[in-house]
Amino acid sequence: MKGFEYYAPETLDAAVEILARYGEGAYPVAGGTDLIPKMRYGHVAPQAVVNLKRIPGLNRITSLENGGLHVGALVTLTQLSREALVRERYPVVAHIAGKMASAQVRNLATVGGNLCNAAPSADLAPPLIALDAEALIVGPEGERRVPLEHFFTGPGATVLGPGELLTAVLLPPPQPHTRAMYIKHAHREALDIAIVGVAALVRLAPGTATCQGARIVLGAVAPTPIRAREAEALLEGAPLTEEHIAEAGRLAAQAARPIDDVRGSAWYRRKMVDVLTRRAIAGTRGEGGDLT
Amino acid sequence: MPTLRMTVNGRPVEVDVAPDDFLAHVLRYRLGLTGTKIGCEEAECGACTVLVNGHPVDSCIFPAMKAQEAEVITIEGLAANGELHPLQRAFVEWGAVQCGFCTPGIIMTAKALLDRSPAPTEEAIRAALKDTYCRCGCYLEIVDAILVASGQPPRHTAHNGRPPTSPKALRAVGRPLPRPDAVAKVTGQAKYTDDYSFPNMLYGATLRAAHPHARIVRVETARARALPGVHAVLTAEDVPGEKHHGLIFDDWPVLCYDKVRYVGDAVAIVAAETPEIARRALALIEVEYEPLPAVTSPQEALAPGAPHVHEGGNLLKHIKVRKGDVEAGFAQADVIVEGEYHTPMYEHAFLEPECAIARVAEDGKVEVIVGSQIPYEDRRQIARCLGVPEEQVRVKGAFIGGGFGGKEDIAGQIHAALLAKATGRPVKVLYSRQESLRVHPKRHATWIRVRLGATRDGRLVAAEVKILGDAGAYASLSDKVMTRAATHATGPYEIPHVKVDCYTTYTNNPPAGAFRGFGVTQSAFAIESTLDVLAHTLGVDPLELRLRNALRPGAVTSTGQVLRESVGLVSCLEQVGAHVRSERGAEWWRPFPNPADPARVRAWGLAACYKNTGLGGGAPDRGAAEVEVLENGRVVVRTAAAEIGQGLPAVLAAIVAEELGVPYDQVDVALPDTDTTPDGGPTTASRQTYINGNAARMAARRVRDILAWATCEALGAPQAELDFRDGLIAARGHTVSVGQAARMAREAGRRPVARARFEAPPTRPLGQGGDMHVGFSFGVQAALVEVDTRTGEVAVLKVVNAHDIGRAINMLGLFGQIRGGIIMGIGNALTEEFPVEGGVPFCTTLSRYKMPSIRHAPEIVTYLVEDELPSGPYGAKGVGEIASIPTAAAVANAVYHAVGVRVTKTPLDQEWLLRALRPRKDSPSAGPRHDSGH
Repeated sequence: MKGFEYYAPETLDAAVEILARYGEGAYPVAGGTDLIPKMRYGHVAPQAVVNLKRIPGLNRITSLENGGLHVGALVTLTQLSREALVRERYPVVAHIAGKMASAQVRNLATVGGNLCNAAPSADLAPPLIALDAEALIVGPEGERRVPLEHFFTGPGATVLGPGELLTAVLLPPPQPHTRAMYIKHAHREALDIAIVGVAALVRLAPGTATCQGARIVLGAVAPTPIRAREAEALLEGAPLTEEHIAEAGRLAAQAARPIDDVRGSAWYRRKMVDVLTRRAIAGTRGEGGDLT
Repeated sequence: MPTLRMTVNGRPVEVDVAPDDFLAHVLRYRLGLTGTKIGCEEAECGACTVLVNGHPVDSCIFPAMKAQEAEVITIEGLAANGELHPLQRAFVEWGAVQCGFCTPGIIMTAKALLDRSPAPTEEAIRAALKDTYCRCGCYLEIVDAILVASGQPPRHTAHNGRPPTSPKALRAVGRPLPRPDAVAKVTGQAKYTDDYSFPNMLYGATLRAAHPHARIVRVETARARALPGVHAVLTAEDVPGEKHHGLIFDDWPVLCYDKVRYVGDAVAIVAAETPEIARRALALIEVEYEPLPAVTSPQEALAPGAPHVHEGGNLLKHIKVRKGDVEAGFAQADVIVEGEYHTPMYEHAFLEPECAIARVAEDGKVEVIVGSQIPYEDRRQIARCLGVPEEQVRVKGAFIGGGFGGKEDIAGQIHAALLAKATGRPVKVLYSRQESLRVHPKRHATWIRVRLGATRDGRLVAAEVKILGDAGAYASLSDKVMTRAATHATGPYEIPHVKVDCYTTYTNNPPAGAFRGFGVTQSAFAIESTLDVLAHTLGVDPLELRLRNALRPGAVTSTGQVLRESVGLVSCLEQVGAHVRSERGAEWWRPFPNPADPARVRAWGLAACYKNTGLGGGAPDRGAAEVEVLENGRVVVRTAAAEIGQGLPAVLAAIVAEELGVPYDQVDVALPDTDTTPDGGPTTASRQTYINGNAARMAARRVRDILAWATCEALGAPQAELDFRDGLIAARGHTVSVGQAARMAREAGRRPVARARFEAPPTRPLGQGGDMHVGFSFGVQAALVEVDTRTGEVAVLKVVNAHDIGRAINMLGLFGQIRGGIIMGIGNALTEEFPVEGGVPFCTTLSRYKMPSIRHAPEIVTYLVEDELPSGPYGAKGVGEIASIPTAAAVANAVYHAVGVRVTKTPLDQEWLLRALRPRKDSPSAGPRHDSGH
């Protein structure tokens, strides 16, 4: 690896100062599971590597007064998958966190890393967006909150400006009668990059099968994770029948803007958005089964 | 440099580290804890897993400073007070270790699981290990070992609660005895090449070609030489001897001088104080190229006016197999079917990247430590390129972390020797994973056309096959590999009229060489797929069609060899057939839905194959072994025959224990060393059990004769009356131990040591008829697949198989080869591919090469057929390759049965399959015939 300056600031302010000083040449590092192989292969050559591990508090999951959850950016995937608060309130998040990558990588890789790399295929993004999560950002100008849906601006790009750091993800309180499911599709199980990921969240009117609110979020089929708003609109206020679910799948596939690459063609990805959207919505009904 | 303080295996450690030092490097190279292996340096393979504060992490990407104040446990920390950890013990006993390179990482990952969950379910075991790879494919053994270690019954590999024993078992032969090196491998004590280091050692690095095909105009090394810490920069003109090496043709430049022919070509080498300085030096070497048009496929290579990769044209070899009169044969056929198939390049992905260490002894002799499949051949090639007599080179073996054919060719051996000569210091040349992927030969990509004629009642009358094979930039073993593809192209069937033409050409792609199956993997996929097409055209049970035409004793192969004995194919077909019929009834091929989800369709498919044991084709095939009985009673077997995970030491130890009547664990098998162990020949062609099993058996018998001679007088009985058992020699109520006997022999003037050389019965070259091979192993596999008709995904749920391997010598090793071969076959069928475009490989990292993981390991039911080959040791034939040969065709045939789509290209792409399914779904009549003919 090429020479670089190494920093391990102990406060957020110090980290922000260093990041602002180096601008695009600075790479924050937490678990390093993504950055280190990239540096080793010369895909990136940082001027400065800023280890965030010594900043206190970033690796905590805490309950918010409103019943939501504050998930520090340095929380590892393993922590996220095992933390009781996450498992109880947002099982969809705990579930996918426990299946991403390998056990070894999950022990190092962090929530912030997965989101800030902004890979269109990042697995945490669709379920968190479906849950209306917000990004908590600290920078030279202070703190700001951005809905996670608007956090991503393109492959590898986010709203983070020079000196800015994602410090936490804020999850709103879980809604009653709401279930969510995330399904990814890859050529080889979890370690391979998803070629399509679909998160579906459905809130039912109490005691009915009528959908009161829905989120359908697609990963890996556009430059950023996207919401399939037409599919969401269709479901809202409608009974969750097979016909509606099939139509939602079709609308989600239309919303996708996939590309052709070595992992799959646009045609195939779109097709899979359809299949997985239906599967995910059906999954929220607790049937686990699949529809065709 | 900051100081890292941590606890490693309970001991406090203090070491100064740089910010870019990684835990794996600190453990291995600073603390000497080489049990932690490095397989990829990209957090992909899991071989480097250690526990940090109880959590498994990939230590290859774990910055060392992050372990500050941490508690680190490595594989060396698991055994307490000489007692193996239950996981280690179970891995040994259940054969969950083959090459052993992944073993420390797997055991550490499993330990973390058991620490959290003392009795995990199989599902939890698979989830925990899903990305920790075992390329030998011991996944089912690993599941069972973890179950047993956690006090649960094994689920996959046991027979009555134990690993199975052959019904023909003797005292040691035919029993499930743990490999002699298993304990060393589960404790991290087994030393692979990179685990060695020497004082003053330098590090070599290699400058690779910047283009797949280019003329070298100028190489300027002055700036690299001037870099502090650099001790040598060598180019082609510094090669004192032959400028080329090669296994058959010397066409591969040690260092390129006139032009480069693929992106893995070496242009210059550097030795420096650290790997980092060596890499920096490479960047300072200026090479001016004049790019040439690249030849990127055999079709292009044979086109008129194609650029020449080598002088003399691109056609490396045209191989012909002729039998009968193929046109007359087709004239007799009632039905003729045709098919065209393609198999891509495949990568061995052995988890241990190539490594060689060379040093020059005081007497000028060059010693090279390398995990090579052919130690004596390495010595020959190194000596020629150094321009010294072979006796001036000593090649010492180390443990080898997988080979599969990919460690037959020269990698860094010659470079390390040249650098050691140039600097007078030991030099280590270790390839990164990226370099390994870029450089070593792959499996030949092939394009195969098959035309098959049969009578209405299902007798094969004619077969015509055309094979085009991509040899890549250098010949390597292409001649032999593609000959094997051609001679096996008509499958294990007796067909009166055969015409096979196989063309293999140079291209500017990575070279292709040996890879488990040696050409037959490719041609078996084509012929076994075509055979099913024929069965369905004729309306015959695919199993029945194979039975009707199967090779039997007395049959004549396509090369004109009359098979006299040890042809267990019919028995294999019958056993697999009985199994699938017992599960699905007479029409076992009929599709059926997953009961929980009718859109997932299941079906069985099967394929058969055969594979030669030994080199054959007129090549002298011999191996030598030495057996010595020491006065402490231990027995040592010495042969320079490479163990790449396949289990040779267990085979040799069992045979020698059997012959000498000593306990199996009293036998040690030495690593290859060209100065002290006789030439065992190459580890290739499934030949080691046959060749060196015989040599060791002969040597053991000679030693037994010496011991009998030395003790008969004391025992008061004639030599013929002595009974060798339990480490004792007994007669007429008296006993002496073999150790005592060894001393008595020595005192009487004879060393209790003997060498024997086994020479395989002569064979004949292709085209001359007669015995082209000394014998063949046979295999039949039936795969149960499930196709998700909405996504095109295919899963292999179960593989039922029968293999005729002559005789089982070591049951753990034998089953390990069969299961591992099948899992590799599933990789070939479904996940693996090494795409190359314009001469440039896509798989620049391991993450881009999709090997099967524990998630892909299906249920495997194995039937053994022990149809003995009289010239084999106890009747044994080879097993190393056969099990990976028919799998892809069995899967493809099952997919056809499930959804009516004929797979003509491996690996089976789910998107391709979904597209193929669509027209059928949209308009049922448009698709291929599905239920026709039955």
